[in-house]
Amino acid sequence: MKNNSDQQDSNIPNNQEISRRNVLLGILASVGAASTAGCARSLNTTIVDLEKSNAQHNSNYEFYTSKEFLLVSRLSDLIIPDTQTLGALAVGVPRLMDQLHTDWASIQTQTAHRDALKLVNDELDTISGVPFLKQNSEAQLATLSTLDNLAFSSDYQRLSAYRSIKELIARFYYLSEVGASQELRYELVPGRWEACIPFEKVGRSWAA
Amino acid sequence: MTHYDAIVIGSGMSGGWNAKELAEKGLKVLVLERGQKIEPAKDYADFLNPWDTPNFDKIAEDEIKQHYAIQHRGVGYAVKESTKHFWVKDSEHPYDTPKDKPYDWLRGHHTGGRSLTWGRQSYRLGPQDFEANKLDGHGTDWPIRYDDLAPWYDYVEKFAGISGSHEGLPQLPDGVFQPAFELTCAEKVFKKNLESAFASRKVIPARVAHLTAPTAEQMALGRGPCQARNHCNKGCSFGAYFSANSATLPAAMRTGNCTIVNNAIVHSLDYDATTKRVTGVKVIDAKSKEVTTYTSRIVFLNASAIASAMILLQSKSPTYPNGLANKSDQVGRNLMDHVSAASANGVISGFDDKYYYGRRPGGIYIPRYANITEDNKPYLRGFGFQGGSWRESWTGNKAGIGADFKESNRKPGNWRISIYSFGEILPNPENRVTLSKDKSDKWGLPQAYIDCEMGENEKIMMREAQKDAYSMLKEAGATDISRGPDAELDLSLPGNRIHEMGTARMGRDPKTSVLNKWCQAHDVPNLFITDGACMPSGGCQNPSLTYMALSARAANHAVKLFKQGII
Repeated sequence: MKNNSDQQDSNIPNNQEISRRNVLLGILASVGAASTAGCARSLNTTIVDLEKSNAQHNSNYEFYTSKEFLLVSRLSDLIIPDTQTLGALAVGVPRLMDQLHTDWASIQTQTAHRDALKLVNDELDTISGVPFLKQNSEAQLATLSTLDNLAFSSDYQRLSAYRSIKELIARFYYLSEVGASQELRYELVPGRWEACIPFEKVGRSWAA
Repeated sequence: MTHYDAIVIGSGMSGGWNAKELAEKGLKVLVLERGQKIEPAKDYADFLNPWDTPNFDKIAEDEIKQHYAIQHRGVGYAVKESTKHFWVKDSEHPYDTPKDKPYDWLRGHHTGGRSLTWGRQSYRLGPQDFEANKLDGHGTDWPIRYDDLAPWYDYVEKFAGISGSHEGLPQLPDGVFQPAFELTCAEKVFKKNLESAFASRKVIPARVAHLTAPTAEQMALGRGPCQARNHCNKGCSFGAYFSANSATLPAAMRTGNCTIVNNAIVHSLDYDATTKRVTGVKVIDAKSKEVTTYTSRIVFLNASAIASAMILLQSKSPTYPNGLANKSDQVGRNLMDHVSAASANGVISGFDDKYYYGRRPGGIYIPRYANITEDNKPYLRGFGFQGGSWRESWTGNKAGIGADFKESNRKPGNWRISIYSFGEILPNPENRVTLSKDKSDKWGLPQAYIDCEMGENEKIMMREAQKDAYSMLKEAGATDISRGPDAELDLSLPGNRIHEMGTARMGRDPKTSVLNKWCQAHDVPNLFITDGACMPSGGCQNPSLTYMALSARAANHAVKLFKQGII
């Protein structure tokens, strides 16, 4: 799959080189406002982890454009932020989504996903009245909250694209090592079946 | 070496049993497997975490379209990137159907066959199933009755290891069980309420071929107790569920009497008209295409119902111009499966403070009641329901973002219980497999032409089963029921339940059946067929346990004849 990151992006100045590391650092900087203060240490880890995981990929994001990657990153972080556990951005959900659409998706699915991202971006821009990606984190949170409410109520049909992206982010997150085994519960080898036990003995939802 | 006492064609559910029984009785056995060797350390994927496999372990969409369109359509839950080697590439193993009669031929070519990927549900047929054909006139009468097979059910259950509960139900006889997997609290309430509302119906723990209290015999084969992982589609390094790979083939191999040859595609069986015996098996090497003929005194055909019929049809001779052992013209006919469509799930209230630990590889079973404990049904025969309960877990498909969204996914939601039907398909001689007249595979063998469809009885049965599914959930106190009594029904495609049967049926009359009561060809006494092909009818129960019992019974009979010098 051709790397699309060199495509023209109307929201980014032409003379600004957007390297993947810069995008990540930008995202992570903006995360600060939306994330809990206690996660400062994990942010460093996040950069390292993401860079490490990027190195395992053939190149930077291969499917997404810079703007798309930025949008997916912001959505990931706003929908599932760092709390007591790392959130969707920190565990690399945008990269996993990029890989999914690079390696797994057919052209039809790629096109549908790109269209979905565009629709979501347009909706967010409309709601905010300014480019969503240029808002600060607090404003982005408010804008996305509005869209999320609409997507699960009055605009359910029209905003299915948003729900599909949200579901994908959640799926990647809750099946990641952090999402499954720290945020939720997962045992590779439970070793036994207990049919009906106090919930407290498990404590959280099973991830799988 | 090319001569053996016995050749077993196919290494799966039934072939593995024949290999074990024959080898343990001292016969030199050759197992011919058309697919690759399976090495658990390399081929099983059961120690992968969800995050260990990219893209949710999904096969790329273009690759599915090109190579796995049918397999993935049929069993997408099992055909994954890490397990795709357990399934054939449709592109390499084509078959044909009428355009308006699609058929799901779902299969894997490797040692162990589909015993490696089966659903492990293990139920005996009941007395009614052996009498059904005679009673209603569909198909031909079974040449045996339940009592003939009961001791062999005992025999195979003891070795295989079946977890289940003793219920005393005549239509679903109890067996030699290891402890059942306990029902969840929601299932216990469902059972209590349902049995109170419908005195003629029962809810029992699913009977599954998983070790819960392994015997010394099982442990000696390197098998251990089920670890409640429910990764069974990926193979089981613990050998905790029964498969030819974990149980029968190791038992056969440790005798020193069994040889397995992989990549061995059977072209045909050689027949000697003078002795009226099969004398050899002509094999094409899947990779080199080199042809070898192996000889033996006994041949067991266990290639699976469709493939076994095709081998017979390919084995033409002056005595059998229409295919070996096919004087009755029944080879390839009466192709059956099971039918599913009726299903529903609903919420069982309460137990918010309860949860479960582990991933149980089974659930609940509602044994057949139609035309057994309840009469006046507008259809013949009946169906059972499989099912189970769970607590709704995390989802991205709900409102909310941020820390609150995360928090909301930490606690599981409602308890839901689901039931889905498995119904009997009547034997119908027009449902059949033949050899394609103009299409062949890359080894030059004719492709299968499968002409099979669901009948009216199956359609009416599923319509009624849907009403039952809804009413049972409702009467048992479930709410938010997913599908109502008139819900649209999409019948499973023939083949989709992966229980193909009937293409070389047993019977009392050589004019209307292929095999006698020992699964022995009427006209070719050293030829036995004990895979699904031998079934005169299918019942509504998952059939593998019956294949096992019929195989063990037939193999022991064959050994007796062999030692007497009769074959």
